[in-house]
Parts: sequence; structure tokens; C-alpha cells
Amino acid sequence: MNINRLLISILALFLIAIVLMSGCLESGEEIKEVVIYVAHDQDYSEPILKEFEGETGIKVKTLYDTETTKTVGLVNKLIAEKNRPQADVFWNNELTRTIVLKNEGILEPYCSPNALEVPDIYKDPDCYWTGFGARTRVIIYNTDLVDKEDAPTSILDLKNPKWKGKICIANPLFGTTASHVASLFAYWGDDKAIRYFNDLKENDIKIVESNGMVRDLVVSGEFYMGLTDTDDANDALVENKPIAMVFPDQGDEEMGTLVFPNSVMLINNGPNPDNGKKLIDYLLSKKVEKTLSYSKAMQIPLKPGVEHPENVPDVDKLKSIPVTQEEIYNKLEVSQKFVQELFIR
Amino acid sequence: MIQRFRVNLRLLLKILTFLLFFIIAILPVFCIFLSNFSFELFSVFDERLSSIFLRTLILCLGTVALSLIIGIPFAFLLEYTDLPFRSFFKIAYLLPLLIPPYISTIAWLEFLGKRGDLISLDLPIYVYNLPSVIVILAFSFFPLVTLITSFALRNIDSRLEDAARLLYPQREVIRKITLPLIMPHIIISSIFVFVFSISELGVPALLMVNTFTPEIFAQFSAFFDTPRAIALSLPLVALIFIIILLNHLYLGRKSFVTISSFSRKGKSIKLSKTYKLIALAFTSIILILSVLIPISILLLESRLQFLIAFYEAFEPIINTLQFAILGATLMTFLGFFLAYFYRSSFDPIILLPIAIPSMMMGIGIINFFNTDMTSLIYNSFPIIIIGYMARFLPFVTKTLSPFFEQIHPSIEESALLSGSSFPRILHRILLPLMKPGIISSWVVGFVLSIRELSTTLLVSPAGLQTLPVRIYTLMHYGAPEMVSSLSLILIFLIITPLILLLTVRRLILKLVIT
Repeated sequence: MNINRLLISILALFLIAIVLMSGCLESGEEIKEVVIYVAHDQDYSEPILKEFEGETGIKVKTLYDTETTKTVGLVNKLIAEKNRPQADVFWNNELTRTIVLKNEGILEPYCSPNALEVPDIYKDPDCYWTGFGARTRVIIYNTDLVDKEDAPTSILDLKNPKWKGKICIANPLFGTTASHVASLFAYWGDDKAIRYFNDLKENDIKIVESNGMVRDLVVSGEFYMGLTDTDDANDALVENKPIAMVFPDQGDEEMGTLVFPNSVMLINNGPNPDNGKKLIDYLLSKKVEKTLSYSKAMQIPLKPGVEHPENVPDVDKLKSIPVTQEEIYNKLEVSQKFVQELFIR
Repeated sequence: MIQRFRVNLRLLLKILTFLLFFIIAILPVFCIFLSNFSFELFSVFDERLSSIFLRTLILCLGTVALSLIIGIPFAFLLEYTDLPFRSFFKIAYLLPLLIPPYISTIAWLEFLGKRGDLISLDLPIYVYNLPSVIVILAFSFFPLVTLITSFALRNIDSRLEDAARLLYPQREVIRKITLPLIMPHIIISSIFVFVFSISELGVPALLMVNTFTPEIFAQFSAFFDTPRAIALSLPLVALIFIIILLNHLYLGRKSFVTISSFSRKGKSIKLSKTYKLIALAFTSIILILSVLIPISILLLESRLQFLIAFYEAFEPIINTLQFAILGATLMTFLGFFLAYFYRSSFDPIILLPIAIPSMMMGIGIINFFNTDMTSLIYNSFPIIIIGYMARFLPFVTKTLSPFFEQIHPSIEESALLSGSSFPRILHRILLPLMKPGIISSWVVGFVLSIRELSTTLLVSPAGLQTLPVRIYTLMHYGAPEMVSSLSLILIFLIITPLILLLTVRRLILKLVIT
């Protein structure tokens, strides 16, 4: 066959393929839409976003995060897109990275009417972000290997030589573990925190890949106990695996545990700001908090009077470490550098 | 000497090819590097980092060594001997490459440890160490070695070997003639395995071994310190650069020209009964360990929920297939001309992208393409394809270039003297001779693209998800049935085009011979 004809026909096929595929491209002008980046698990967030779509007719385009320990891809992406934002809303599943975004100037303040009932400690005073549906740090232990009497009730129990080499935590550089470490540095001060982690290192604490992995390893018995988040623990509890979940340090004299809500925020100069505000209002509704609490993520509603199942604690009965988000954020770098030096070598 | 008025098309193509390559793969990284450079970069290395770096080096060299030990004999058995069930092994050996190492690690941990629901041996071996990482990675990456070596072996002019065999025993022939001839391919595949081992995140993390690439990622993701992340990447970039330079120096002097006017398929060595059994045991055990066991575990864990998984992840599945096919085709196209026009002296530039950590590449691409002019690319699927091309063009190109090296320039020159135009030379001489190279490089591009994760995560526009991204999303909160089912679907997606290609290749060979 003539080479030219062959080349031309390949080119033609190629162009036709592109044209066919571009039929899938949204043009964006005729359809009402909103773009949201979601750090919360897809399985829980997708249904809520689909309901929003159904109720308002606004098409929701989502981008999900994956291994929050590994990539924090969405936060990096938001920062990289600063000069030409592609997203309208960011649904984060914790607060520390939210503060990072605020300080980078990525956010736009929006005082949603649905934010009024959220307690002050769980929202930004200048309306840059609002919290909803919280999780906490918990200790989990394997009930076949640890008796109830010996069970840990405080994170200080993790120093006990009885459990040497039997405790695991997720990589303290990322995600909620990093926030937890920073909160301890903020609450205790650097010296006491450094001593605590050195003690943990003496006690042969192991770093594993993620909170989910902590759960799996405690379930299988390869470790006796570990620190993880409520939703990861609950994944095992609903399957009746042999573990128990403890909210640590809840006693009268004790410091409480780290409570971290989802946070939702408006991105500065996003493509569809009005639809973004509507989506934020929707996500801050009591209905959504109720849905999140009944989900496997068992998220704790922050607003008063939201119906929730038995296993989800009341937010006012839960003792949380008395530090502000800003204080945690300020300790982030120094705490990360320390744990990196100590544990990741 | 090229005829004057033909120079236009050829020169145009040459410039265009380089320009495209430069814009896609080099420029984005260059820009982000320049905008983040500072002189404090040179003081980042301390005792902790040095020991991590050393460990990573040992890991990668060990993986390369083991991959060669497994991969080269495998290739020889497939191409040179009458190994029983050869046609089966010729397809089967690619399978380990299609199973992401992360997934096979999890499968193995469940099998050996306490975690599996249905099967677990609960062996007392401690596997959370460096040798385990080397073993898992080598078993995943050896097919790269075998793939490239096999194609090399298939295309050696057997007359050289036949002549040598008249005088020397088989073993000497292999040592003195065959191995040197396929050396460029062996070295290229070693470089690929090395680069893959360095950028592997999941396996070392699962097996609790601290390596260097997670350090770079930590700077991006935990500290949001881009300049420091770039500073840390520099030793890696430098290291790979040195390897490339050594490769260039070592091979630059020798001549590997063998394809003159034609090449024949050589005679296979007949193995005695004992050797046949040993060979069979070798190949079977490798495949059982690297394929059969992980896949069986995946099957068990999936509880056969394929239909549900397929329905749930329909869109990512279709996306992934489309993007990988398109990406591989474009890469082969561009890579062909890149390999043709720019021979080994340009190696350092062509191979530069592989030294760049995937996350840095992703951020560079975002920065570069997120403009009003290029919004059509940025906000839809082309950006994902650009991600693939930026990362994998070097692999595709370098898979092709040894084949070009084996074509003697006199073939083209005699065609030019007879008055042929460049398109005609392309069509009549280069393409037919390069067919095996084109096919193998398409396969390399396809397989690499379809399982790509880290760059895709960053550049994906909202609303577009690929299958690897979906699988990793699910892995986070423990949905083992879905993860296993989708992993098996991913593996299936890769196998089907491969099988199609391999059968088509047989047909082409048959046509060529008759």
C-alpha cells in the first residue's frame, strides 16, 4: 500500500478516535456544575454528593484522594493550582492541612448559615473553614491477646514495657498521626513530648504504613495494640473482629484525645463560586451529619440535636485535647522533623 | 550524503520530534526546578539520609542482580532451547509484570502470616526486611529483562553463531558471541529495573524498610517543602545520570551491527532429558512464586465478586483502557522517530525523565499546563496521557534504539543512492526491520501506562479516575473483595491486548517466512 495513504488513514483514524472520545468531554458552559476535591473516603462521600446532585440539579465533578499517608495529592494539587484554581470546594477529612491551605492563601472566607450551630472550636473565627462530622484518635487492642483489666486507657500506657514490641502506629509524618503528634507537642511542650516518644522508641514501637494497616495487624494478632482513627477501627468492629476500641485519656484529670472533624472550605477564585457555596451549605446540614454518623465511618456530629446511633459518642461528652488548630499547626514542622529523625532511619 | 531537496521533510521531522519530546518531558521539570532552586540545597545530606541512601542503593543493585539472574536464563530457555510448553511460557513470563508489586506483597503477607481469612500458613519467618523487598521486586521486574533480552536473541543474525559453532562448543559461543551482541539490551533492561526499584514506594513501606524515594515524597507531602524535595532528588538524578554515561561510554566503542540484508531464526539447542526437567522446574517455580500464588490469593480474597466490581468501577476501567492504548500508540510513534534521529550520543537527554521522581514530574506538569491557552489539555484526559508520555517515553525509546543500532547504515545509504525518498525508506526498509521493536516498545508503553499511579494521581482532572487510582483508593479502608476483584480485572485488561499482539506477531512471522 502507498505509504502516504497509510499514514493519512492512520492520522484520520486517530483524529476520529479523538473526536469520538471528546464527546465525553464536558463543555462546562451549558451545564450547571461544581468542582469539589474530596479527601474523605469515596464510598462515604460519593452518595452524599450524588444526593446533592439529585436535589439541586448541579453536576458535581469530584476528585478523590487515595492513600492519605502517601500522597496528600489533593493538597499539593490545590497549592500548585493556586494561580488558576480548578476546584470550588475542598472537603478535607481533618484540619491540619486545612490550616496549611489557609496560610497559603488558597481559601476564601464564607460564612455559611448552616455553620452557626457548629461549636466555635470546630470552625474558623473568620469563616475560612467549618468542621462537621468528626473522628478521634483511639487505641485499639486485640481482645484475644489482651485482657480487659490490662487494657490501655491512656496513650501513656503505651510506654508500659509489658507491651514491648507489640504496639504499632502509622507513619507519623502523614495524616492524622502527624496531627496527633503535633497536638502532643503543643499540649505538653517540646521537652515532655520528646521524652514520651523516646520512651515509645525504647518500647520498640513499630511504624507501619497506614491507620488501616494498624487495624489489620492488630486484628490478625501480629501486634497487640495500636493507635488509629475511629473509622478505621469501626471497619473491623462492624465485622465483629476480635478488637476493642478505647477513647484514651477520658478521665477527669486526663488530657483527652484528639478530635478532628471533616472540614469544608471555599477555594479562592474557583470556577463556580455560587454553586460552591450551595454545596458547602448542603454539606453542613444536619442531614449530612446524620448520614455520616450512621455510616461505617461513625462520624461524630458537631451540631446539637443530630440523631446518631449508639456507638457514636456525644461530642459534648467527649474530652478532647485542649489545644487550638493554630497551635497544632505551629508545632507541625518541629514535631515532624523530630519523629522523622527518631523513627524513619 | 542526503539529497538536498529531501532534507526538508527529514529535518522537519527531526526538529518536530525533539520539540515535542522537550515540551512534554523536559520543560515542565526544568521550570519547576528553576523556580525552586536555591544554594542551601547542597547541605541537605546528613548521617540519617546517607544511611537511607546507601540502603536504597543496595536494594536497587540487589534487585537488578536478581532480576538478571532470573531473567536472562529465562530468555535463553525460551528462545534457544526446546523447552517443553515453550509457547505457554512465552506469554506467561509477562504476567509478574502485570501484577503491581504492592498487591503481590499483600497477598504474600496474608499467605505467610496470620492475616489471610481463608489461607494462612502462619510461618515463623520474619519477612519485614530488605532481602524480602529485593525478592519481591526482582520477581516482579524480571519480565522486563526477559522481554527485552528475548527480542534481542530473536534478532541476532544466526550466521555469526553458526560460524562460531563450527569451531567452538556451544558454551563458548554464548559467552563470546551471543552475550556481547545482546549486551546493549541487557544493560538497558538493567537500567529500567534499577529505576523501577528506586521509585517503588509501596513494597518497602509494607515491609517496613525505609528507602530514599519516600524521603522525597515526605518533603512534598508532609513538609510541603518543594525546594528541599528537589534537593533530595538531585542525588538520584545524578546517580542515574552517571549510570547512563557509563552505559554510553561502555557501548559507544563497540559495534553491534549484525542485521545486514536478512536474518534467520537460529537452530534451537536440544536439551537432554535431565536438563529439560531442570529447565522446566526453573521456569515453573518462578512462575508459581511470582504469579500463581498471588493470583490464587487474589481470587480467594475477591470471593469472585467480579461482576459487582466491574459494575462499580465501570468508568475507571474504560478510562484506563482508552488512555493506555492511546498513550502507548502515541509514545511508540514519537519514540520511533526519537530513536531513529537521536542515537546514543543523545542518551543523557532522552533518558533524563526517568531520573525525575514521579511526583516531581506531576507537579511540574500541573504548573506548566495549567494556563488559559492549554486549558483544553489540562481539564480533560490529554493531561493524563501527557503524564504517561513524560514518564515513559524514555523507556519506549530505549526499547527501540538497540534495534536501530543493529541496522547497518549501509542499508539506508544504498537505498538513498538508488534514489529513494525518506518516506519510502521508512515504509520499505525501516518499518519492516523494526517491526519486532515497534511491537515490543508498544507493549512496554502499554503495560507501564496502564498501571501508572503516582503521576496520574496528581494530574488527573476532577471527574476522571483510572483503575489503579480506584484500587488504591479502596485499599485505604480495607475492601479486600473489591480490591482483589479489581486487581484481577486490571490484570485481565493487560493480558488481552498482549495475547492479541502475540498471536498477530506469529502471523506476521509466518507471512515473512513464506
